[in-house]
Amino acid sequence: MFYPARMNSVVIGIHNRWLMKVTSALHEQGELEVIDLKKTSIDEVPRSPLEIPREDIESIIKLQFRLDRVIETLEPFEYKPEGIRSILFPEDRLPAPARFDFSDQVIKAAEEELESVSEVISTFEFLKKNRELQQVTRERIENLHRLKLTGIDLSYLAPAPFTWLVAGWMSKESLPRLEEWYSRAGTDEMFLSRTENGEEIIVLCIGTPATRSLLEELTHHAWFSRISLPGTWSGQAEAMIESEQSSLSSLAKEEEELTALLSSMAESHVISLRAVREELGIWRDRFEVSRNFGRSRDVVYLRGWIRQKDTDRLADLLRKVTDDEYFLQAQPAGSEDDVPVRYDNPGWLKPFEILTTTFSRPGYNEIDPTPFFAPAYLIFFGMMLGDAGYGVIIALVGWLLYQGPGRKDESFRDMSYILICCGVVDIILGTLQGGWFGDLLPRFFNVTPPFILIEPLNQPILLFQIALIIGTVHINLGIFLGFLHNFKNRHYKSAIADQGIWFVLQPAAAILLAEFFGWMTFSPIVKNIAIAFAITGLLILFVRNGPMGFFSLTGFLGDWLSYVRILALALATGGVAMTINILSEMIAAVHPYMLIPAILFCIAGQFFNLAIQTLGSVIHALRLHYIEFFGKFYSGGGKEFVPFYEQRMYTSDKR
Amino acid sequence: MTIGTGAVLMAIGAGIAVGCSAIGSGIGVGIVGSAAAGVISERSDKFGMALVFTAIPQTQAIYGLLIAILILQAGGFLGGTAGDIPTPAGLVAVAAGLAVGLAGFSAIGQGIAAASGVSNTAEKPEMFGKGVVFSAVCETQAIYGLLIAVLMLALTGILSSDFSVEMPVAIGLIGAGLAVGLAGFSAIGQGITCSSGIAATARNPSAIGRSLVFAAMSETFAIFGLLIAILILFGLGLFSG
Repeated sequence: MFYPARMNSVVIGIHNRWLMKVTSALHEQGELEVIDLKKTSIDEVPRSPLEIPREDIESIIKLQFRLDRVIETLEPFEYKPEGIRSILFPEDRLPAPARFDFSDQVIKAAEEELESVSEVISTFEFLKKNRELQQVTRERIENLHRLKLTGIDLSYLAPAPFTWLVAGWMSKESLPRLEEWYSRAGTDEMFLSRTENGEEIIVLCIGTPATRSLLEELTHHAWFSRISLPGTWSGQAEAMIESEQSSLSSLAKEEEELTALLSSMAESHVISLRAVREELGIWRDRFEVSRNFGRSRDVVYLRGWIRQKDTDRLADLLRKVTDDEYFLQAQPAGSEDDVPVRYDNPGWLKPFEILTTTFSRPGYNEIDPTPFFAPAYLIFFGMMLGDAGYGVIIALVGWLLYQGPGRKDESFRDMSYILICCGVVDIILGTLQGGWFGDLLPRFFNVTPPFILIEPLNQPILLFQIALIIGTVHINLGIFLGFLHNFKNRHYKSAIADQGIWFVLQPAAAILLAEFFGWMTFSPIVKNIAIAFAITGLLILFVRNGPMGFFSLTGFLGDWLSYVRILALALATGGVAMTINILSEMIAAVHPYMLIPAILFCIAGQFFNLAIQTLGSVIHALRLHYIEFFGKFYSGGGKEFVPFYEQRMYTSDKR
Repeated sequence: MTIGTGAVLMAIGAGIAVGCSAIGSGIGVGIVGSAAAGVISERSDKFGMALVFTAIPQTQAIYGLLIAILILQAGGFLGGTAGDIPTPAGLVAVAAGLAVGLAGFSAIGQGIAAASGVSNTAEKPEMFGKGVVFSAVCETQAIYGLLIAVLMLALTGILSSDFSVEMPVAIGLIGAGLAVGLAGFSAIGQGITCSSGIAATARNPSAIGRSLVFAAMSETFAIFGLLIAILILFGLGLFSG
């Protein structure tokens, strides 16, 4: 629990014929990290690479590509509940069960699934075309409305043998540009008609075929928007608008039908398509992992890392699957750098591992700080927020998330578990600090909250002293862990010079400062011992670190004083909540009708304070660990343990 | 009802507390907000993350608001009963305002660091936690300012509306307020270091420890300010009760 899980390096040998069965069993068990045999230095293990069934992998890749395309097409048509309710209470769609034992079955099933949705892509193409046509029709209707203002019969706009016509529109501001273009054209074989429509000008320009290039040039200007003139237009614009509107209605109806068809396909096929795609991915992983294996004529070899306590289970699995045709060599990990790190914490601590990982995963031979981190983090958070009312809300939100998305998503489950713990601790510590939405209870209901031990706003000095005591304990715990770690690894010099001196310097400094400030008096012997300890500690510090030893001293002082942020944040939560309550009281006092706005203001203000102070407490509780606590003993940098594990979201291996 | 000079000075103290810290927070939030806007123009899904970083430099304004409210409450302003408060009590409020208000400029440094946090987290989501911690580093100066302000108000008895503090003590406290408040500007340098620290950690995750050491060096000067402020408080006899 205080160190990462102890690992074994294992080498496995199996007969060729068990390859896929063993690979599948290891994949399902998910406890072995497979490493590349080619990179190992085991001389006796043959290194000739294993041949991978290329045809199978190629078929899987092609099918995955096709499935991706179909699923991506159908996903927008899938029913998705929206709003906060969908987040808190996600739809319970059970994953499709895994049904396949061999890759050829999966490939066959994928082909059948794709066959059953063969119309998806063509239907979607129809829909796309339909939407494009609707867009074109809408533009035509807009242009017909413009042409209607010119009063021209649309038949005259059709191509003719002796004339060339361009229709378009532009903003009124661009009129000088049109005039400039017309005068620059310098020909009398063109006729320009302009019709004003508010800020727009509709332009009809007709000329002889000789002026065609000039007219085409007009359409290339950015300030001129050309109206395309289909040959089917004739008669008055009003009649054509009606005809185009009718086409638009038909297209809209067709779009509705196509959308309904795709939605129904999505409803009936997306789950099974995702399941089969996932199954294909799992089989692809199983094929591809064998790139790391080696082989002789009849034997396949693989190497990996596994927890020492899981090694027997691995042996049992191999025995069962291969009918005893295997060998397994397990060797405890030494001091190699590449040993992967797997946390080894009990279930109730596991969700907090993410907070350690956010800083850095511990090295294999390093102390795992999570067991120390979790309780201290909760206490710091609870003291900083220090409001039982807010704690109730946080715990409730955590519980809702745990019951909702937390059931499906592991990281959500961990975060909601941490939220619940934070909320519960905040309820306890907030009660002791007398915070219930600030001073809401005594101010509005004349109720004194029970079990108050210390009120930050009334006893800041006491909380200041408590914060510094907590800081002293926390920092010394970090120094002690560093000392233990160095001692265990026989780095005695470092244990004394980096950690041990602080156990000498701190009491010596405390005695001398207390004497200097006149808080306490000590006998000359105690004072002399303190002076001797201080000089010895400082000497070791400066000999070890040189001039940088000065920064070690100021750094230590800064780390210690940094814990007063517990007081600062507790004061901020209570003070801002009190301010909101006072302002609400003032609003309510204006007029009896202002009672409701005052209540609304109070609720909104309290939620704002809850959000901003929770964020502050989360950040500063983390900071106290990452900087002040970890700085004393922890560096991290461990390599993540990545087991060969089948990740299933849409399928279940329960058969 | 006569309004004494002390009450006027208390109002000024509250104004300095909230005004200066609001300037600091405003600039800090502006810096990180600008980076956040740039990020969401390309990656709109990063809005939530960007909002968290943008909220970080707001805390200084909250500390300023807190001290202002405490001063106004102690002076009876909130109940409409601010009266003939002695001048020394008002000066203590000004000192408290200077401590928390000037230290509030640390939000500028925090904004610089948080801006780097936004940009780097947009590229590498795993940098979120580290970016937030680097940004939080620069808040220490504001916390020192808040601490000294609270100590001044509590130890002189003003927090409990006891205005018997003597004039020399009150003037001396202005020095303490200036010491910790002006030292709070060191957070700007720290913010610049933290900003580079975030970039360094994004590039090489194992650089976090050493980057934090560099960042902590600027904090030394804030500790000097805090020490001097505490020594002034001690020298004025506030710790002896």
